[in-house]
Amino acid sequence: MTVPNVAEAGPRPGTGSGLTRTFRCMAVDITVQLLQSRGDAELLADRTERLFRAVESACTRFDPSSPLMRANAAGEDWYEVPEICYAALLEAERAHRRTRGRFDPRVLTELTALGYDRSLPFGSGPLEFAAPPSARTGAGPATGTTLRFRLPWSPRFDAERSAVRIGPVPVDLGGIGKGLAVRWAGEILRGQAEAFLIEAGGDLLTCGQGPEGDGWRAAVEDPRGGPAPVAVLDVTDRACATSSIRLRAWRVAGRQVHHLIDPRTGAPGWAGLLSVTVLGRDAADCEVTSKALFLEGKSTIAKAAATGNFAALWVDEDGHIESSAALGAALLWEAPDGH
Amino acid sequence: MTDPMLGSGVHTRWLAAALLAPAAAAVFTGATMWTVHRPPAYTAAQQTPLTLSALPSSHPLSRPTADPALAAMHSSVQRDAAKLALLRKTLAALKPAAPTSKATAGGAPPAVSAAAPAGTSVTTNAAPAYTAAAPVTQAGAPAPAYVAPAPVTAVRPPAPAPAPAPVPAPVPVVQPAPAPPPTHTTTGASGAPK
Repeated sequence: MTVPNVAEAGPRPGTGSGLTRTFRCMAVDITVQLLQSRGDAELLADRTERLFRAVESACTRFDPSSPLMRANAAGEDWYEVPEICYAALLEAERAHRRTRGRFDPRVLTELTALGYDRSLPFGSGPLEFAAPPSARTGAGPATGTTLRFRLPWSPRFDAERSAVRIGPVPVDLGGIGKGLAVRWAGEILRGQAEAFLIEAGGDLLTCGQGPEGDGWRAAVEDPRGGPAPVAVLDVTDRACATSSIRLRAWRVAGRQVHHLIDPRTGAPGWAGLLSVTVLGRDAADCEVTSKALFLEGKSTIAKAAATGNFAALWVDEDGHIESSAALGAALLWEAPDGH
Repeated sequence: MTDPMLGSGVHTRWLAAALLAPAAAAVFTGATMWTVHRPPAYTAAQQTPLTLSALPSSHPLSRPTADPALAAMHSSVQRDAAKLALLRKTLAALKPAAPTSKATAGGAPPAVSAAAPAGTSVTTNAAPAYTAAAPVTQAGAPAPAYVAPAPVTAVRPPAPAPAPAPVPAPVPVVQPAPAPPPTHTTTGASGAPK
């Protein structure tokens, strides 16, 4: 999948410099670190930042006028969207098929019903809604674990017109948007620097041997909020993504909820896990897989990770850390039990 | 004109034959089977290796038997008897050494009666009641005397040394967990402001 066109100026001859740029986008801090760039480092960073903002602009659900929300409003009618939104929906449909429906972007209604209908100030303190804003959606948050039957998501795509037909149920690309942006940013930077790191709210991609020449290492944060990490992974030339309920959690009508909706129930997935980290080649695939494994739950995640040969590490509600065999030597350090 | 009495007699004979023939056949078959699975009898004059034994002629089992299976059983009994005699001799030879080995075992001394005069057998609670077989000796040779074991009370075992004080289990030294290696970034914050 080529990088969607984003207007930019051509690069100037290489200066051999490096830089680190951090900016806020998609409600997260994004870091781009370039080492020994072969092109203009500033220009490359600018291009990367523009890409992230273009993805946010085209695919946000917090702006009713975004191409995604307009396509959602069109429902079963065709609607032409920018290339970046078209590519994102195409990737979402592919992820839906790859995970056999475990990843399902048709969770916009449920998130809205839980009060997550706008960008919430996560991290600034506990959030609580007195009552679900059912007046906006006509339905309250789903309770319990009653399974619901749903046909597979089957959007239609017209590549010639860059048009999509999403279907009767609106979608949210929050579960894949950041990963896609990281992937496309990597395609911009690859070959343009000796090494680089792109990190977007925990979804990251690296290339090269790192600042010290011995690779890149990422700390897996403690989902219970502890100051020390639970593990350290070797992320050299790899992508990494984590699904966690540490930050995006709040209370609705006295009930604790979070943003990882289980499409089988329409409710937040509570199956004994606090976070799942997946290592792989592609950031978007890692993001989708981490969410799918999170929804597997504590009792079946090990088997699911082994079956899919996913390099994964997870922390359960008791603070117990486990990892799949595929993670192998990438697991450089793990916190002892009782950390 | 047929004789009616003659006709009914024919029927009766046929009926009897129909009933008796199967019975006779069954008897014949059973006898045949019994014969097949029984070994043929030997005459008294025949000698087989199974009947050759070292038993004295006065031994009731030494008489040759007409049944080879029974003869085999007899010879097996003979062999077991010989083994038993040998074991009895061995046990008799080991008996004088038994009390000494018990005294040095370190365990509680077996319950014994008061010191008994030499020459008499001493039976302890630990030793099973046993009657030694009469030794086989040549004429003129004095029969070996059964040496009674020395009374346990004559050789008091030394008082067991007091058990050493239990050594307290070493306190495991808890090694501090190794610190995590330095990292360049983190994953899992999902956008928490840094």
